Parts: sequence; structure tokens; C-alpha cells
Amino acid sequence: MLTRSFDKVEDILEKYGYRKEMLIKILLEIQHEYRHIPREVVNYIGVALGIPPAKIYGVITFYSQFSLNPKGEYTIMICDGTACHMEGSMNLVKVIEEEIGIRPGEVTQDLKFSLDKVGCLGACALAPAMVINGEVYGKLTPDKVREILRNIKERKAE
Amino acid sequence: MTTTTEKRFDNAQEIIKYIDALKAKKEKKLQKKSIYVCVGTGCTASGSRKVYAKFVDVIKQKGLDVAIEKIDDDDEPVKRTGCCGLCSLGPLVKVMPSGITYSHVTVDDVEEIVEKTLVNGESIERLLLTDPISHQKVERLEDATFFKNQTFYIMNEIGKSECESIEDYMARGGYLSLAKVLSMDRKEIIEIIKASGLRGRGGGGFPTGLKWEAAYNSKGDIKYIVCNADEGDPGAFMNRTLLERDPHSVLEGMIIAAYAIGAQEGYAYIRAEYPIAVEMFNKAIESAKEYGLLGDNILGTDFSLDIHVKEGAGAFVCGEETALLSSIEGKRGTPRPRPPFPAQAGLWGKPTLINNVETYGNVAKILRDGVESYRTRGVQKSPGTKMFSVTGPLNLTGIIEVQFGTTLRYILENICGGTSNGRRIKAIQIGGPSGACLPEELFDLPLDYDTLKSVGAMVGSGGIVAITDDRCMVEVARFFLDFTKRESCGKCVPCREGTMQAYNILEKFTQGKATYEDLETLEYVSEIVRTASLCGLGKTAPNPIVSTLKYFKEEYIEHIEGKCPSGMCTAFKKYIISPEKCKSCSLCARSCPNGAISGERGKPYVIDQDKCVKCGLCVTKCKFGAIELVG
Amino acid sequence: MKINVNGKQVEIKDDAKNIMEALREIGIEIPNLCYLSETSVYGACRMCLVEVDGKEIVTSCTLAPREGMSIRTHTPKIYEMRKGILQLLLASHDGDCTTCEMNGKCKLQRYARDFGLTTNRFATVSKKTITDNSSIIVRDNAKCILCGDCVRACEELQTVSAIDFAYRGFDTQVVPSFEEKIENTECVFCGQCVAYCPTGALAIRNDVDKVYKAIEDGKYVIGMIAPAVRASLQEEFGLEDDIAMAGRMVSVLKMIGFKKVFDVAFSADLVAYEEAHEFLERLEKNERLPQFTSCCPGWVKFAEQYYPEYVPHLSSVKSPQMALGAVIKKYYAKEIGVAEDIILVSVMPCTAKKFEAEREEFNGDVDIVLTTRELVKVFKSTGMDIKMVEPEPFDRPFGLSSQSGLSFGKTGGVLGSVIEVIADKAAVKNVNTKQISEGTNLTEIELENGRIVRGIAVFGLGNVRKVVDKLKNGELQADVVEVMACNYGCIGGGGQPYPNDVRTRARRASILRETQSVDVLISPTENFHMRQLYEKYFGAPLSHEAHETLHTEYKHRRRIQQEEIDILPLPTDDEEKIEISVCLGTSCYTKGSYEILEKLIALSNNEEWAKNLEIKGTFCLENCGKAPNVLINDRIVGEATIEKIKEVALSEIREKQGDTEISKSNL
Repeated sequence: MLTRSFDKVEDILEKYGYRKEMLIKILLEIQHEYRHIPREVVNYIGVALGIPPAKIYGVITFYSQFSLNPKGEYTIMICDGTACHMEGSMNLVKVIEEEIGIRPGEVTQDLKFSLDKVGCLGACALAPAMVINGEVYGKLTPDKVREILRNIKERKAE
Repeated sequence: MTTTTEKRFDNAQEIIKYIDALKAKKEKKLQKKSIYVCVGTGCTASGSRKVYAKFVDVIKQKGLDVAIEKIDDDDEPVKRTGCCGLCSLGPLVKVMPSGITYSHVTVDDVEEIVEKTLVNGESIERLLLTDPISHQKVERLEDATFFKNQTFYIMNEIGKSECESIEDYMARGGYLSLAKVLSMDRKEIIEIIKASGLRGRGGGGFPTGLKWEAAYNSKGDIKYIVCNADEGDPGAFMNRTLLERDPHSVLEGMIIAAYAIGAQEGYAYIRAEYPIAVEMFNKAIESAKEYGLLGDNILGTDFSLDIHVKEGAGAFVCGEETALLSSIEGKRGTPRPRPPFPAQAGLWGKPTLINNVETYGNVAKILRDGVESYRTRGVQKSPGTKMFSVTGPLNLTGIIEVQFGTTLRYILENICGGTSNGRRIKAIQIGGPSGACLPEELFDLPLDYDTLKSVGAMVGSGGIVAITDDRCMVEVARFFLDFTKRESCGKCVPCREGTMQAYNILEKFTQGKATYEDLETLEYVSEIVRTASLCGLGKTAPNPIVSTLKYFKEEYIEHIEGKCPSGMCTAFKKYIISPEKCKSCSLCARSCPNGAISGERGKPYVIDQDKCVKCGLCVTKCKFGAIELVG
Repeated sequence: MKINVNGKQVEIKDDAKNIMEALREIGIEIPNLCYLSETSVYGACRMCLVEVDGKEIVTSCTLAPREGMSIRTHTPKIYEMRKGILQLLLASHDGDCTTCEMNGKCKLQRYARDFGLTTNRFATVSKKTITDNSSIIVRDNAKCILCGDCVRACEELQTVSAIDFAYRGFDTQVVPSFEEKIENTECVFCGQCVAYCPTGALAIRNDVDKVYKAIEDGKYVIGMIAPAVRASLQEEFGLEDDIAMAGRMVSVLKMIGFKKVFDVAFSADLVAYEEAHEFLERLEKNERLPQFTSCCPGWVKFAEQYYPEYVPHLSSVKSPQMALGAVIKKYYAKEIGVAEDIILVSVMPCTAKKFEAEREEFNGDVDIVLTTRELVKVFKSTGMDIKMVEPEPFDRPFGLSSQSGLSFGKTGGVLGSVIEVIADKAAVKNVNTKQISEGTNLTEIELENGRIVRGIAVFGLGNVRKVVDKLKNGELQADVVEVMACNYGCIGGGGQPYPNDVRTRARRASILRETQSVDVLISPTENFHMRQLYEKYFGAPLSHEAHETLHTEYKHRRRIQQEEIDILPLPTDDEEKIEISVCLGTSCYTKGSYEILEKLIALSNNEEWAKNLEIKGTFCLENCGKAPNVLINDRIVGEATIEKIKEVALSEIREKQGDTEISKSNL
């Protein structure tokens, strides 16, 4: 199985011509592919690009888009930008915790959901807002959040 | 419009002619029936893509309507238009040629809009937006006070543009400047930019022309041009708006700048959190290449330029130009000491010109319409316009564009329509997370680089947050320091350690544990961070503290004295159970996550204040309204 | 160039890199915590602020000198800023100074004292603590001030980058990838990170207690001291002109219970002698040239990791430490009749020597390695005034050394010694040395027969990488290359006392030069005790016995230790199984390693003899030039084909079973 996954890494590396300066883009794609940056992949691309693994680790841990632990199938990003914060986004964090039992930075045990607090999603006019797998949900209320999460859970059950 | 045919231009005259033809075509086209649906991030979140799909369906289904199918040569009768900034009213739909615009459109409204408005040209009263200032229903977006009172210069053609289409951009006079400058002397172009007085829109307001000149004067075979679109301010999205709405205007500005300084390669650094902007800009690059406006031998000259999109991966500090350069190189985005400045030694040690998205957005228009025209807006030392992102409890919020010199009060009242919650606006926070908080008495100051600086604030990237009197200024400062502390790159000592210390002290304030000594330490640490930090992020990080200490010091003192005047800091409050109302049902005790409530049957329950975490859950559980918040 | 400093007109060098360095020359050391002349400017500690032309406050490390500029280095505002920065640092710093390795040497501690910090107005904030006590280099990030000196030393000077910054903001830490233990990384243990660390965040594993334990247990403790140690000890104790330092060291060690103390410089003569003969032999046969010296264990690990193709070019002669270790354990122990009880303690300027002593190849000949820093501690803890200690000579027979042997402590020393030996063997007409690039000297030795032997001496692994790459692509030619991992050679070793910067290293080099100049013997060939050793045991250089005792062999080493992936783990008997690991790294992958893997699986399923193949996927054997690579029971097969693999696997089976029947029937 792992050999197959190195296939994907190879595809990504090839797409960017094994160029060192493309490291961040390559990592973004790897993050997208695996929902995290696996350790063996770090070593792999380190040798492929000629970058010492310690440097790659430094880059991964610097940028908030990367994660060392797998993210959920549904990644919830709750906005805590100025507008959303003022509109009570932190209450929604509590609601999410009640609903799926995880706090920001955590993943549910079944790897279905992960929750992160993010700076700004650029949807301030819709504050408070959250993004689940790229889809923006705005003007949230606790009830709306519950409904959205329940819908996703059901979608999964079908 | 189609881009399938070969449209590569290899001389300037040819493309100027072509642009003239497009202009005429666009004029005609605007008279034709068509529908524009906003699919920007905001409207998409409100379901505009579903609305868009429904329009496509309905129009197809109706078999329709020869007129609609002839809207354009394209197969798509419904156009995607860029964000107009009024995201809170989305999804927004505009019907041409009448220009009638509807807000909060749902899938169910689509059929009616097609029938009544598109076919018959009638407006639908209930979908029209109500002007929050005049309280009148308005048919066209342009007629709303929100728009009427703005000054549009770089944000052109509300809802009339097809942001993805290069031909639409050209029809609006796009790429004329590029065609023109390629025969000009490089120095001459720089002189024009200098004469225009254009200042960097990314924060500091450094004169753009001087930056160009420095990059031009730097010796080197290889030079780079960079567009800074790493807009990470929590609560501002001007750059995203411009990139999604008019990517070609930014691209043209970059190409001109590259030509002027002699760069052969460029990068647009865009946050990965803005996938639509990334996509739009990539498309813009592709079409510009097809038309011979980018790539090898641009418009038949010996000027060649390649531009790539680089995605940021989530680090606010990368908005700082030297950190951004490190990030483009694929490294940790930590700032480098200056000098050397990027204009001398930037990307991979080569001379590099970095400007903000909005700065580039001005370039082509200045060169096309001239310095005189540009300077008719704004004030002497800060000419032109600025995009702001206004948020807070206001009737209308979103992206606006005003000329420099406009007052805050004008923006809050005449554009945004005042508060929506009936509260008084006691302060605004301007300039992003490291901006300042200004009190009401300064609302009449003209907004420009120098005036703001004189009161300890900055234009920054242009975020404006309205703060009403039910908000605590200490909490506001704490919130922003929480942000800068988290986003500090960790390289230099004052910022890494100082923001942490400052945050901890502010937290003491909001928790009611602060002393007068803490107040002094807060001032002391702010001064160190401001003076000694390596980069702009650190140097400005204490602004929220310094400005609130300057204008709202009494709030700090009240916190020390045991009270949060706005009532926002819950630490100063306590929940109590009214013995009269309590029926000792025990529901509250059972719901309390911390076991702070106890009691026995027949007697009123009590809350142990030491254990209470003030989550307020008990209040929502109590069926008799027996629990209240006091303090 | 004239500038105004604190109201006085001063003359500074026109080519000064920045104001910090310019003012250093005229006696003002602007406080700083992240400035290293040897690396790029980092500009992060913000301690070196100065006021320019009465207005701006900027860092002097980034400030370019300009004619007529006016600088104030110590205004009340600047004083306050520095004090503030120090307090900020101390608020999150593990301030338990008494138990800190760097107590008394720490730059942060010194500034705290100089700025009179008796209290801290900032509250203590704790950081996530990362510690690594697993190997020779010990890390305690609670003491780290994130100045980045170690990171830049590792990356820019040594081009290894085993550590880097991770995380950001207040959470920033200096760690290896995935917070791995340093011993599992590409770290070559040169210890330059330790050498430059201004605080106690990086230290060397302290082995002093092991020495006392050995003495306590009644072991026969023998000491041996490397050349570079004496120079830095002279400096450490403020006895720059004291040429008797070596003798005082011997004396102190004897007093605390060492039975014998020998001089590693003796062994340096031995190694130079043997190595020169090895070189002449290779030169004659024209094979495995250029010959690289191998007395620097940091370089050896570096070569094993990054230049596997040059591993056979390394001199197979052991380093002076390990050669003397072998001689003592093998011959001397018998001579004095205490074989079992000998505990051999070597004192080295080097952290990598601890690593070297632990390498499997050397069977623990050297038991304990102390660095100069540890020796200083031993001395100081005795309370003896070293100045007043009566010097004592090194013990015979391994106490005699020539100037050449002593010169091993600094760059060019090994090469110089080898040349001395060559001069003795072949007629040398002319020797000419010039610097060809940073840290790199080229010596051309013209022999009587007209042949020109080209020797290169290079220090600093970053410089080394450049030289080796040039040798590889033919830009540079050499017959023999002396490599020292640390700048200026062993005197700048990671185990040397702090400070260990360029200025200190230059001073140590001159101290060592003076010490060695009083030695009456010049060439290793004149060291008659060394020659006696040949007469007694080896016969001649490169003899069988000499090979047995003084030579070793190095092998290709992977930079990154990583788990392998089981692809076809069969329930095989351990005795019979043959492990085959196919590299699936980039180079190998693109050259078809995946196909090889498939063929192997098919082979194992179809052919009877192959049923005991345990097939694994591995990741980068770091032999990418010869891709695809396959590892068969530790044997690396480059440019592998399925036929080649079959052949090697069969020969492995044959070897294992001693049974030729199977292989014959299957071939």
C-alpha cells in the first residue's frame, strides 16, 4: 500500500519538476492527498528534492495549512477572525464540541471530522462563519451548526 | 467570451484596434438581456451557486428565448460576476440591460426573475434591496446609498464585468496601458508613477514610484517582480475581492511594473485559503499568455515575462515582504533583516520589486488616464482611493472604496448606514490586527496615511472594525494580541516573547486579576516590542494596546478596580439563583459541567462561585428564569 | 573611514562588514546574542541596537558603515531596550544556573549580571521542553534562546542541517526532523552547534563520572591527550605563554589516580607514518586517488553519508585516537600484564571522538572520551592552581612526539606530517602551499623525478563539500586531501571551551604553533619510540600486522534512519532467510526499482530456492548515482537487475549454508 502511495508522491514531485522552491506547493498537495504530511513522505521528498528533513519539518510546522496528524474526512474550519469573534464564534466551538466531541486541533476517533480554529476565511460579512471541506457556511447560529453537522453525519450513514 | 481561437497579438497597434472593437461590442452587449449572478465567496456561502445552476436550468428548460441565447457568443447565458462587496446581502443577482438587482435570492425566486424581469423587464418589489440609509427600495445597486457614496476607481463596473474574461477586461480599456508603455522609456514610466503620488497599499504607504526606481537602479541581469496577496488580516478581504473581481487589472499592473524595472519573472503570492482567487489569477495568466500579453516577446517586443502563482500556506507574517520572499523560496516565512532591501537583494538574492495587489491594481489606470485624472481623487499627499473592509454591527458591511481624505464618520454613517444594533459606536479599529483603536472624537479626521499616523494609527491593509459600546476595549486588545502572538514567526526576541507577555497581562485584565503594576509593565513591554522588533509585524503588534491605553485608559483602570464597564468580561460577573424563583428542580445542578451548583429538595439551589466557570449553561436550562447574571 | 562613535571621531576599516564588527576592532563589543561572524547575519536578538545620527535605532549587525555617520552605542533608551530584551528572554528561560553546563560561561548569564538584573518585571512563562539526552550532543531547549547560532553553524558552515527551527512564535524550537533524537539523524557529531551555543541549551554528554568510577573500581586508568587540548587549556587558564601546560596536565591526572598518561601526538606520528606509506603505495599503483585522510571522525561520517563513492578513498589507517587505543590494548597491556583492567581515557577537543570510540569497528579500544571542556571541569574541581602544579613528562613509550604530530591539532597538520614522511622516502625538490579558496590550501610537492604531488588541506564541512564536489566533476585535481570537519581544525573542535569563535581559534592556532616549535623532533620519522613499535610488532609499514592493528574499514551509511516496509514477509526461519530490500526512493523508482520489486515477488513465488527471500521496500539507500539499488543482507547492489540480484542472493545462500548443492541445481 505504501509503495502505491509513493506513486502519488512521485506524481506530485514530477508535476513540479523536483524543484526545491516548490516545496510548499508540493506539501500542500501532499496534505490534500493524505489529509496530513506523513513522516515517511517527508524523508522521501527530502531526498528527492535535496532538502534536509529538518528543514522540511521546519516548514511543515511553520504553516498552519499543514498537519502532522491526519485530518478528518470532513475538515471543519471555524473562523475566529475579528468579525466572527465579535459575533460569538467561540460559542459555536462549544456547540461543535457538544455535537461531535472534539475541540480545535482535534480529530474524531473515526477520523470523520476534524476541527480547526482559523484566522479569517474572508467571509466577514457572513460572520460567524465556518468552512467544511471548502464549503462556506455563514451567519451561523448554534442550531444551524447542529443541523449542518447532523446532515453530514446522515449523509455518511446513507 | 471564447478564447479558443488563436488571438495572439504581436504588435501594439493591432491590439489597440482590437480593444476599440471590443469596447463597441461591450456597449452593445450591455443592452442585451443577460443575468449576472455573484459567485464570490460570500454569495457562494449564501447559496449563489445553486441559484446560478437554477438559472442555467430554467433558461434551458424554457427552451427559451432567442434573446437570451444571443446574450453572448458563449454557451453560457448566465455570467459569473465578481464580488461587489455587499456579501451580507447575497446571493446577489443582476438582470441586464435594466440593471435591476436582487438581494437574498433563493432558488425558488429564479423562475420568477426569468419570467418577470428578464423577459418582461419588470422588477419584483420583494426582492429589491432596501437602502438602509434612505429606507427606500432601490432597483439598481448603483442607486443604493452604499454605492453612491463610494468613489470607485479600481473597483470598476459593479456587477457589469465578467471577471474571468480577458476580453471583457479589454473592453473596459484593459491592456491599453501595456500596449502603450512597451514603446516608452522605462524611466519615463517610473517618473509617471512617481508623479502620481501612488503609495503602497499594503500597509506602510511607501511611495510606489521610489520603490520602482530603486529596483530599476539595482544592477543585475535577473530581477523579479512579486505581487503580495497574502492578506491575512482577520476581518479584511480587499485583496481577495480585487483578485476575484478584476484579476487582469492586477496582472496588467504587474506586467507594466516588470517592464519598468526590467524583470523577467514574477510571482503572485496568494493565500491558499483563497482558492477562488488562486484559480482566477491562474486563468488570467493563461489568457494573457494566449493573447501575447505575457510570456515570450510580449506584443512582439523583446520584453519577455513569466508570472507564476505561489500559494501561501497559512502564516500571517508572510504578508511582511521579506518573509514573503522566504516563503516563495519554499522556506519558513521568517523576515530577514533589512538592509539589504528586496529592491537590492530579494528573491534568491536578486533585485526584487514587491507591491500589494491593490497597488498594482492602480498602475494601469494611472498610465491610461494620466496623473491629472488620478490626482483628482484623494488628498495631496495621499492621492487616489483605497479599498476598505468594514465589519462590525453596522447595517451594511463589506468591501468599500473611498477616496483618501474621507472621514470615518462618513464611512460609518453615509456608506454603512450606522449601527444595526442600536448601540453607539464608541471606537473603530483600523489597519488590521496590528492597527489602532480610535475613539469617537477622532471619527471626523480625514483618512489618509499621514493623518492616521499622527494619531498613532495606520491605514494598514484597510480593515475597519466598528466597535459598539457594549464591547470591552481591553478584550479587543486581548483579542488582537492573541492573534499577533499566534502569528509571530518567533524569530526575534521582542516580538516572540513580548507579545506573549503582553497577552498574558491583558488576559489578567479581562480576568479581573490585574494590578496597577501590570498596567506599567504593559506599557513597558509595548515600547520594547514596538522599538526593537525585527519586522513590521512586531513593530506594529502593540498598536491595539498603545491606542487603547491612549484613548480608553479608564477602561483598563476600571478593570483593575474590579469592573468591566461594557459588561463583556464575564470574569467580573457572577451567576446567582434567585431563591424566590428557584423550584429546586435540580436541572441546573445536573447540567453544570463543573459541579458548581448544589442544593436539596425543597430548598433553593446555590452556585459555588469558586467553582463556576461562567459558561451560562444553567441559564439556558432553567425553566423558571431563576438564574441571572449580575455584576 | 571616519565615523563618530559616542561623540568621538574614530577611524574604522573601510571594508568592515557592519558597524558591529567595525566597533569590535576599536574595542567596543556591542552586546549581542545571535551574531556569528562566520555565518550570515541573523538579526534576531535585537540586543545590538545603536542609535544612528541622533534619530533611528537600528541593529548594528545589519548596519553598513558610512563615512561621517554618527553612532551612539549606549543611550538610556538603548540601555532600557537591552534590559527589557534580557528580561523577556529570562522570563521564559530555565534559570537554574547552578545545574547548568554553561554556568559561568553563559553569555545570557553574563549580560544579566552586567545589566544588574536582580529581579525580572515579567512573569515567568513556561515553554514546551524538549530534551535529548540520548547521545553525545545533549539538548535542553528550556535553556534555548533561539539565537539560531547552532542552526546556522550546522547549515552554513557544515552543510548538514541536522537541526532547524520548527513551529513558530512562542512555540518555536530548534529540533531535528520530527523531534527525532540527534543520534538517529545525519548529524556528524562535529559539535559545532555546541561550540557556538551561547547558553547551556546544547552541551556535550558529560563522561567525567565514568572516569572517577573506573579509578574507584581500581581499574588501571590510562590517559591520552590530544594535541589541540593543551592550547585551549593554556588559554582557558590564562597561561598563553606556558609551554609546560602538557606536563601540568599529566601531573594533575596522575594525582587524581591515572596510572599512565600518554600523548596522542605520538600516535599522530604513527598514523602519519603509516598513512604516508599507504599514500605512496596508492600513488604508485595509481588507485583510489585522491586519498582522503580519516583521522577526523566527523568527516568520516560525513563521507559515509554523502559521498559513498569516496569511502574506499579514505585512508584505512585509524585515527590517532583509535590507533593508540589499539596499540595499548593489544600490545602494551600484555607488556605490563594488566590486560583486563585497563580503562583507556582519551582527552579530545572533539565531540565526534566520543562517537568514534563507540563505533563497532573499533571494539571499544578506547573506553572513555573526555572533551577539553570536561577536562577543564576535572581540573577546576580539584581546586589545584594549575600554574603551581609541577609539570611531569608524558609516560614512555607513547609520550614522545615530533612537531608534526603536535601539528595534527590544526588545519594542515596531517598533510604536513605526511609530506614530512614522503620527503624522507622520496626526494622532494620543492614544496609550495597557497590558499585556493576559503578554508582550502593547496600544497604542490615537486618530487625529484619531476612528478608533482598535489595535496589539499581543507577545513569546515561546507568548504569540504565544495572541494569534494569539484574533485568529483574534475574542476580540481588532488592526490591527497586532508579534511578537518571544524573550522581551523581540531583547535576549533566542538569539545573546546567557550567561546570558540574565529578570534579564539586563531589565537589557539598560534599558541599551538609556539608549543610545537620547542619540540626538537621535526618529522614523524625521527620519533624513535614510534620506530621501535615497528621494530617490535609491525615490521614494516603496511605489513599484515600493521593492517590488523592500525587499519580499519568504513562503509556507506544512510543519513536518515527509517523503518522499512514489509512487502513479502514470509514465515521463514531466521537462519535461512535472505533479506532483500529494494530502494523505492526517487532515483531508484525512476530507474525501475518498482519493476524489480514485482519481478522479485514473482521469483519468490515461483522458484523453490527463493522461498526464503524476505522482501522489503526501503527508502533511499543514498547511493542514488547507481540507481536502482538493492540491499541484500547488508550488501548493496548498485545498478541492480533481477539477474544481478539472483546471483548475489544465491551466493549469500551458499555462504550461509555452506552448501553448494542448492545453488548448483538452481543456476
